[in-house]
Amino acid sequence: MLHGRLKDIYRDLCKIALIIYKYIYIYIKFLTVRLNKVNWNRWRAMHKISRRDFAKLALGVAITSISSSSIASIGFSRGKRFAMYIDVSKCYGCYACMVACAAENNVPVGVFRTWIERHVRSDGTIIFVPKQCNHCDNPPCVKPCPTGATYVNEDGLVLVDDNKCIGCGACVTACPYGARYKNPVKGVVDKCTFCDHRIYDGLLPACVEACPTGARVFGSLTTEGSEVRRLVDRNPVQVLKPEYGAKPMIFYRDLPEVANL
Amino acid sequence: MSWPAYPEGYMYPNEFFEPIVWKPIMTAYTTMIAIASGLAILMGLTLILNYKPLLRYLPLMGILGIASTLVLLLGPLADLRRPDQAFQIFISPHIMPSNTYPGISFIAIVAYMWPITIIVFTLVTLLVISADLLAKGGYYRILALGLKSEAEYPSYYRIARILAVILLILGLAWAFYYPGLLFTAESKLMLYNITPLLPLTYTLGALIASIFILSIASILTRIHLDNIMVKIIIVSALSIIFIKLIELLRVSFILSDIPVIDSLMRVMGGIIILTVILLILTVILGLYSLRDIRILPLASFIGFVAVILDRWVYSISVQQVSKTGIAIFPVHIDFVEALPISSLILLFLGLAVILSVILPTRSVILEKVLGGEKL
Repeated sequence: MLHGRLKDIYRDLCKIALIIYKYIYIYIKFLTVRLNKVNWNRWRAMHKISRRDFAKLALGVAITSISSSSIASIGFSRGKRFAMYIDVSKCYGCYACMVACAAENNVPVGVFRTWIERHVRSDGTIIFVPKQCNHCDNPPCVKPCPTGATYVNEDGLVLVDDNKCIGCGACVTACPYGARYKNPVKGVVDKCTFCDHRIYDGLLPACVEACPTGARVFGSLTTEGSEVRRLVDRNPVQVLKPEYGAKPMIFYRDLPEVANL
Repeated sequence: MSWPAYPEGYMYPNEFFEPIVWKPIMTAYTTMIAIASGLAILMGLTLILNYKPLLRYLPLMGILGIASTLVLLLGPLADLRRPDQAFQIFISPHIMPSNTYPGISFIAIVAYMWPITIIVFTLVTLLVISADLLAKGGYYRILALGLKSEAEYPSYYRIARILAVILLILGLAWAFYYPGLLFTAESKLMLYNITPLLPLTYTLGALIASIFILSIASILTRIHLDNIMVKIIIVSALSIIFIKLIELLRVSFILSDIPVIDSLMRVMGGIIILTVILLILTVILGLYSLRDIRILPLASFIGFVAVILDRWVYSISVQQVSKTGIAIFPVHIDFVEALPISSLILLFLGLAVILSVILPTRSVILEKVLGGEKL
């Protein structure tokens, strides 16, 4: 019995050690990220530090951040920034993307990873606007997640770790685009992943592949010569609800005012 | 579930799948948080200011505070879709920002605040009643935290006063729970703009809730009620009414052109008016209780009901923060949650009874040492 208790205590201590390690890791990573963003000459001038003293300080910081820089480099190896360009004028509301997405990702009935809104302009013309998770650069949904189940991966995809999600719904409330839902089957929060299981195998997201008019274009914004980068650069594009400051990565062309509710 | 026709196009379908939920459990646990935070604020302020009229209630505040804090997270636990994974909040809390996990989660901070609040509440309570526990002898000496004699008690009381500062901060943080969720959410714009004084309303509501619980417990333990409790109720209720009126004027004259306001008011309007009426009734009855203190439990009960309604309307409206406000469904209260709610309340009452049996509900030594007033 005592042996069992000791084993339990040992296991608990290991867990605590892991948590401490994680904190230190995150702290170092945070520190290096912050350090990288600083303009050192300006900082030195502001604090009236001589070059000699600054060199001493930098040496100390460098020693402490040797390990962390190698850790940080693992996470940002690919350096891509996945985004989508949607030409609203090309969408005629066939719902093929919705069907393809539901089939590809086992989306339960009643909830949607992507959907198409139908708007009627004052002149009577009908416009279809495809919507989904915007994989924002400043995602409002990641911040309130208490367990870190929602995270931004190295290529800017906003994803959900099912094993960590507790289903509190804080991210559902925080998302200004209504892109998240509580999966009634899994019990966790679900959303568009840009079909991460496909894109890392060199395939396109299911919705893009299914679109018959090519209204959806997917790719990396940071890759030179990519189609999505060319379209975003050359065309006047809009994003949804820019007032929230989320920096969405879905760029629309010809987005009607009424679709930005 | 009914599927209403979309007024324009096919908008936000996920919103329609799970529309506004009138979940009583959300109200139950936010009310429990109000009780715990109110008691922490009251106990903290009483000790820091060494406020004599409320000193006699300190042991009772402590007992009720510990009991309510212990059951605090059971409500949110019942509200989770995956309560079996709730331990993740302690194993991998999102409290340090990084590239992968930008921002800080207020819920994670609150989860970590929970054990700290229990510890601080327990320590302050035991320090306040340490001399009485010593006088009881036997195993109670263990709970006296090493107090050797009555002469040492003033120094223990001083430590309790220092810890009361932490307790006050924790109480305020708990009082801000729901408004805090709004403030830390990026998409806070809509509801936050409508109710910018929400933290203040919640703090005042917490005071009303805690006074109600304290007055009932005082009657049950035969500690006579004081007029200061009535004054706290009256001032808090008047302040909430004032805040509501300011916000209502702001909505009517400044924000009236926002389309969401109309649909929000359809949900909130009636309940807010009822809340204000109940608060006015609380003030009137409170004024009567200044003459006859026996009316205090009734006045505070009506105030408590107003607080519950106020919590409910916000816990429902918070769901609209991200949404269009189109998906307003008829009120449907699901009483399936009666079990978790009743167990939450019963557990709180049970713990309060057990603690009041184990620990003294009044401190004779406190009375003797601090001023010799008849407490």
